[in-house]
Amino acid sequence: MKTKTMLQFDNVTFCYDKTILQQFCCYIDKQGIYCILGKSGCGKTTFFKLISGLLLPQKGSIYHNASKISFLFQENRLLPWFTVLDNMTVVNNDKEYCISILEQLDLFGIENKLPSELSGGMQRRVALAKAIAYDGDIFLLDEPFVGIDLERKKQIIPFLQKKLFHKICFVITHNIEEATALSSHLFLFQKHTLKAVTSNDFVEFIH
Amino acid sequence: MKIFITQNKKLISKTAILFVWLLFWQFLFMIVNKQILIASPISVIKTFFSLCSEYSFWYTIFYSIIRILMGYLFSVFLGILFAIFCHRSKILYDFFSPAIHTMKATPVASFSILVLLWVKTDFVPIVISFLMVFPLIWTNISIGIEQTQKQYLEMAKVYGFSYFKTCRYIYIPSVLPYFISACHAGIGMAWKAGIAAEVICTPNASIGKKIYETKIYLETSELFVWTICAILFSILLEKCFLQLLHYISRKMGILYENKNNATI
Repeated sequence: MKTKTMLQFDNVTFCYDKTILQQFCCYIDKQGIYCILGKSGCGKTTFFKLISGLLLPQKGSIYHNASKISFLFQENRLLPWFTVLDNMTVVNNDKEYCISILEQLDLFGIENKLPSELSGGMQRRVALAKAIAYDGDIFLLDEPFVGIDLERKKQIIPFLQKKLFHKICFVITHNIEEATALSSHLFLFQKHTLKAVTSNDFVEFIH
Repeated sequence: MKIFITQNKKLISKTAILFVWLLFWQFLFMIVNKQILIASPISVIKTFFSLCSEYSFWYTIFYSIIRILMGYLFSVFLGILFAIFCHRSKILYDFFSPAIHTMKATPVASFSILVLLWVKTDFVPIVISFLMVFPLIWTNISIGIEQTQKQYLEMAKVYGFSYFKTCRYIYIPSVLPYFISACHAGIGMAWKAGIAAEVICTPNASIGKKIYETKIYLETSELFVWTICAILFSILLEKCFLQLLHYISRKMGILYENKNNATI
């Protein structure tokens, strides 16, 4: 039986020239989507980079038992010299599965196109499809709906909820409507910590 | 159909340009009117056909190509290898950097005479071609590796790419344009430096030796023929090598978009 995914921040402090996190503690083991809101530059992306191991905390430690982390970066980070399908198969060898994910995101017949031949919204959906195809235990989606029109957003939200309900998934967004449509677990990044803005959560915050 | 007409137009215009240059050459010959100073286009064409029928002509060209290609291929191989090592170790980079910058600035003649003291004349063009192209390949590959975008490397790290996979999908495609441009410039450089070294060291069966002999016997039309042959074979080698590189990159699935939406 697969072990339940957990994520723990233990007294984590991280600063650039300003403090991002200060003695931050949290423990998450409940699967679901967690939406993170906050002002630009408050450290939401840094929080993701700490979880993914791209940054290391200056004090404290971060534990998780995820073998894979799907990270949708703020920029699409699609390899410009490979086709859409090659960009997908780089993270998942199963071509048919990759194509099915693309189709579920309303992307048909673009497998052999280069990313630069697609619109901004399409590139964003390809990047999202790539994160889904990787099938991590933890999902980190940094502003997944940038450049995607309202109509498609309405289609993608239920798809994401269906795909990710059994994962720990963090979503950064600036749009409160997007956040409430995605999840009831809403958090505000404020004063070097994450604060739950709903009572409905299993996250323990210790200051 | 439209493409065919456009290609035909291009061919006609290129032929016309060539014809104008030939006329200019003939005009210059008529003004100077001394076969020793400038050979006429007709005498050059005649000499070319007479040389073409000789076995030694092709033999000479073949050996010059082999020597220069050997030096060139060595420099490509070692240039890549050294650039990778220097990228992985800052100490190695600092150690080799002054030597490579010195190699870049040293004149071919100085190198040729010095190398002549160390190796047989037959090997001098190989060493000289190598010494001229190696710094170029090393510099371009080093810049290419350095310019590889950090954001793709971060993506590779998060998505658990192995070192081989990171090289295959990120480093090689990032470095390839720099490598192709170095190879492009390098093949012409190897050819020029190699023939210059042949002129200085005069190894048997070499274009350089033939050029040197034309100076002694005042055979200006032969000098023109050998020079034209050197230019033509340099272009031919350059085209073949670039086609090969583009073929390999296409086989690897690496596509680059250019302004006309075509891919290389």
